[in-house]
Amino acid sequence: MNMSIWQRPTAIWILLIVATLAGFGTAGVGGVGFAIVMLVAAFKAWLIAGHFMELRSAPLAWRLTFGGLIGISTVVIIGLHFLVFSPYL
Amino acid sequence: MVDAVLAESGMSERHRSHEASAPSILTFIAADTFSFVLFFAVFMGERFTQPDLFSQSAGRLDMGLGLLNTLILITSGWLVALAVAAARSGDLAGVRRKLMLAIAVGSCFGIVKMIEYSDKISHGITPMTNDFFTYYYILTGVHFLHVIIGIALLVILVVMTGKTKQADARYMTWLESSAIYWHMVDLLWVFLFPMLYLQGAR
Repeated sequence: MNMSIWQRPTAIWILLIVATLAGFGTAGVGGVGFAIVMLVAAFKAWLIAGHFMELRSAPLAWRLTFGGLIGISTVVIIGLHFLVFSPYL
Repeated sequence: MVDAVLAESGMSERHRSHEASAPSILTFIAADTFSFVLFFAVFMGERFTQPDLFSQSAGRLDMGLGLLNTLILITSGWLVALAVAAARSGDLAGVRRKLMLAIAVGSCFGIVKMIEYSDKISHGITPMTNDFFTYYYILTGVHFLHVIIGIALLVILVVMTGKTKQADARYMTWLESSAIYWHMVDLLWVFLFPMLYLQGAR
């Protein structure tokens, strides 16, 4: 389907709203529940960067840079969240 | 001539316009985003040393207001994306309307934030309360500063749009660069909201 320029931002907006409400549904929990919330957040950030900031049509270096920043943020937050539960520390 | 060559190569108007203006603003946006990644790491490092205090403190934040501000920024970002699309189709009146709506919706973020700060302070919760709230005020404060700058840029764009007869390259650079900045403000909040408000909150 060839989506028009008018429809695309609206489709992304709806997806972001749905993801936000779905992510919030698992709020108030730690561990796996929080990891799911953060993965949903990373997905939303990817949608914003790719479609609203239009990085999907930017050169590969920029896509990698912003993909990396989103990925590092997600890994650092989830990783340090779970490290609290480590029996070795 | 150039248009014809680019059209023949299959490169869209949107694509060309974006690639022409993207690199300079993206360098700034990437650096700004990177500084927030460091903030996230510092916050999480501190949380690692006091997980119970951070979880209990997160429980004192108003998740509903945090969620509302997330929906506000996403909606304002959508309106800015529509404004950029309107500019590309030459509808400057539409750009102006959408930018004004984006400003109106985006300003609600500030109102909600002020309500939230006032409520916390009235309950004696300040940056001095504990380490969690020190980070809460610093992180949300720095982000709020970005919101104010973003709204100022959108206001400048509304004025520019009113004086512009057609969306030339200079105008599009301003519009697209400001739009990317506003989307970054949205993107950063998408991480800040769960990290501060939802992590371990009971």
